[in-house]
Amino acid sequence: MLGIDLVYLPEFEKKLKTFSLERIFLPHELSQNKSKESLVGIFAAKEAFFKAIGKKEDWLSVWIEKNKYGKPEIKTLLFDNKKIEVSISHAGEYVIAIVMIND
Amino acid sequence: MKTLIDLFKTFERRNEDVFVYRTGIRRFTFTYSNLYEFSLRMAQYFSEKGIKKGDKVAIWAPNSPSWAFSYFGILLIGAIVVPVDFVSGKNRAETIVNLSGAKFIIQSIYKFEKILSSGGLKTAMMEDLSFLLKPLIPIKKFIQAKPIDVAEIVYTSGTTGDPKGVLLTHGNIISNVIAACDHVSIPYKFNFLSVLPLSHMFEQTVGFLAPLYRGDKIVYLRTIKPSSIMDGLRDEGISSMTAVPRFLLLLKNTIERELDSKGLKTFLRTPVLKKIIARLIRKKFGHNFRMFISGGAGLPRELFNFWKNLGFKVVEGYGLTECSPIISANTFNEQTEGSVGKVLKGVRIKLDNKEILVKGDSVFSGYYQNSQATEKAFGNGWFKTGDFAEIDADGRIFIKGRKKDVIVNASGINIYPDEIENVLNKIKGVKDSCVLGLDKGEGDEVHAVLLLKSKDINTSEIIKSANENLDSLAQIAGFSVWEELDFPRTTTLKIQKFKVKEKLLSEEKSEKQDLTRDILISLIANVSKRVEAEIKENSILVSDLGINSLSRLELVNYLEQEYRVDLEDTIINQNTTVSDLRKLLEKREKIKKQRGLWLWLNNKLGIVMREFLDFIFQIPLSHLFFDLESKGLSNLKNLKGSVIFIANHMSYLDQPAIMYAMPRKIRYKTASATREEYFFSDNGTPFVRKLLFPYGMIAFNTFLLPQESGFRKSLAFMGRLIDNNTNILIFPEGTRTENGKLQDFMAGLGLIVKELQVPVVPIRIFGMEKIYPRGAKFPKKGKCTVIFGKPIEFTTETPSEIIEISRNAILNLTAK
Repeated sequence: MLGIDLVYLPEFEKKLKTFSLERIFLPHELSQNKSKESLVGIFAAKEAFFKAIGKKEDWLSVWIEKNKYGKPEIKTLLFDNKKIEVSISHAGEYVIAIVMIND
Repeated sequence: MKTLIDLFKTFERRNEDVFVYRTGIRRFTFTYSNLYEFSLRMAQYFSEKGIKKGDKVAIWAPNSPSWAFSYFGILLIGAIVVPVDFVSGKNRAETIVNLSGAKFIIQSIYKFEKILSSGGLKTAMMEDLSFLLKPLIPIKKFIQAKPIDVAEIVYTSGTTGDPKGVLLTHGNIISNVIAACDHVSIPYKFNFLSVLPLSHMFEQTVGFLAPLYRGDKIVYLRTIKPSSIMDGLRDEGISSMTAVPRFLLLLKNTIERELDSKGLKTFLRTPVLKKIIARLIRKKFGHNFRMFISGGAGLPRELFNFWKNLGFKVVEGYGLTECSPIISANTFNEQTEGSVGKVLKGVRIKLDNKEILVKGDSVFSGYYQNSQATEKAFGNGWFKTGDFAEIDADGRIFIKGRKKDVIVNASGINIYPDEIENVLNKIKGVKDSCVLGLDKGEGDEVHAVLLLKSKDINTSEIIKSANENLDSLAQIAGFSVWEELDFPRTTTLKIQKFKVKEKLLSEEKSEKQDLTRDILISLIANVSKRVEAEIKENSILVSDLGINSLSRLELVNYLEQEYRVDLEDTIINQNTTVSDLRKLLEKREKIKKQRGLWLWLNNKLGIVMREFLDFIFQIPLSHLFFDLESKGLSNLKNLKGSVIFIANHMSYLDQPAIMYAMPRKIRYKTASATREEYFFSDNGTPFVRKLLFPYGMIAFNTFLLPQESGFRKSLAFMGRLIDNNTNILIFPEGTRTENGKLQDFMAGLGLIVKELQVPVVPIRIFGMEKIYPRGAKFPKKGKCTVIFGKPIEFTTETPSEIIEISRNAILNLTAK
């Protein structure tokens, strides 16, 4: 299962003014990602994850952690025993994330 | 009492609660002596960071107990507090940091863009403070301030240009706090809900320092939304909160809409039924709620009367930051419609051509490093407020106009039209502009009226470019073009705003008559950037109107504010139409109650029932199956407060074995999580299991922990258990092992530990793999050993690290 999401940073920033970060991010994601670019990267990864599983679930049922090399990893409450891979990339005002889920 | 330090000293030996902090999951309480101790640690923290007397420290963070610790921590070392509105953007925060020369800024993880530390500026996240302060010892000696020492610099105005820093001394502030308490004179102890920003003097004096002076309790919310406010009011027995008129209006609209949808609105006019309905409405505010304290902007009479008719007091006051801030107020016993009450003791006022001039203990001495503005603000030693008033024979003040026509939004933020006008007037094509607060049914919103140089100018481009240059607080929400040659003006060429407004309102009215405004449609139009006519009842939000996931969050947020319900953005899926959404909102469908969460099991009755069942039946029965040995009980001796027990899972008998291995005192204060999918799975559940479930809940004190939907509700339930001094036992593998080896842990454990913020105690159980393993039909008697490990405290670890550390801790417990 594969999912991809592209985010335009200024749009994200503009929309964000009306809702709070807590709707999308868990407290540990907020405290471990101080820059706005990395938060938007997490948003894109979550969105790509939902595309991969084919339905929209609670934003807080999935989250990103970085392993000791700094590579992001996706964790979720929705299932276990599946291998999930994620990659996030930034260029200027764009952020892209891709997620692959294998049984 | 002459200074804020004197006030601080009164906290030392008081054991009453001062703060409650509701995270939505946990409820943390702090006593006055906690406040004393944490503030001293905060002072130690700042002094270790090199902050000295006279240095400025900015606080750009939401209301919380940590805000208070930071505030007093700063004052205790003689430094100066520079509060910054949490809602304002990074630009404004940076401007204030630069203008004040702050050496340190406390900010929050809940802000999208943070200020990075650099050269002369250090920073910390308010949410990390509890961990940062833990290892510190309280500072030994703190300063003795003098009344004339500056305590705070509060920046007013300047959403764009040059914010002015109001210098407030210890004497200014404390004299206002004492005078306000004496004046309003609330006869008994109150619980306050504090949701307006503490960066404003209104909330700081009325909702923070006055309660502290009176020994009251203050409640803070981590998430401020309609439902958390109503829950807070009810659960905490709140008696009072501060509010700006716009908030009171939004609340009134919701109540009226709800009555309307039930066909009850007309009853509000019938004398007898009115009383019954008022009582029903009052009930929603909890059993204690008495009064709103209104400030920040003028309170319309109609609004005052609406709340008065419901049986609530609305005590209106008047003040300015420059006066620390209260100048006059109504009192607990007497509120006069349309009046801001009588002047406070220690404050003197006089009218000069109707303009209010003020002098007194709480009046500031000047703006920080801005002698020009200071000079302009005073005349013969009197501070010129710029507001106009009349005073009746009894000394009641009636405000007649405000020079600056400040617009106040629902969260209590001041928006200054002149600053927005300055931005607009610099844009090419704009001849002049007039910005005012226009009420379109939801309180004042920022409305710009443009006078253009020629007709063919793209006005939405002008507004767009203005909004880009404006702080997020001061965005222009609506605009219109002034078709006449010039605005109506006074002889001194000032725009007569009230005339502009009158004209706009009369035009608005005529429009309204042919088109009743549909709130849902207008919100969808706003979010999807389409015209209202394009939005049909059968339009599909996602495919027809192009509402993407970001817009969906935006829309859901607007709907929450408007309808005052909790919504998840998953209510909108690929096929949701406008009419689906409308039905959903009209039903105000409460989110389904989660099954299998019974808090009463942990109250006296539940405990006694279990003790009885255990004594007559369960413990004797257990002896038929296993001989029990407990090890590591000494690790449980020094437990303070609740913990999460985690254990490996081999058998259905694990839970009772662990319970009986615990000391009685802990056993009956522990609830166990069971997997929801086991009892209620989608593809049918054996009948016996369903039957066993209620017995299991009562006899073993279990609750359901679903993995997917409903996880957050169970999490909130666990928070209540912990607040109720109950421990929680979890088997983090989720299922019983098949081969005796410890399996991987479920990811949710990391989130549970992070949110509940209590220690984890690892438990290992041996022997059950022989007594009653997975697949066995009936248990076979044998020996079972339960080992308790040392409690582990977590702070900044990630959820995966928590899982790894906890899992290893179980593996390290061996039978030897």
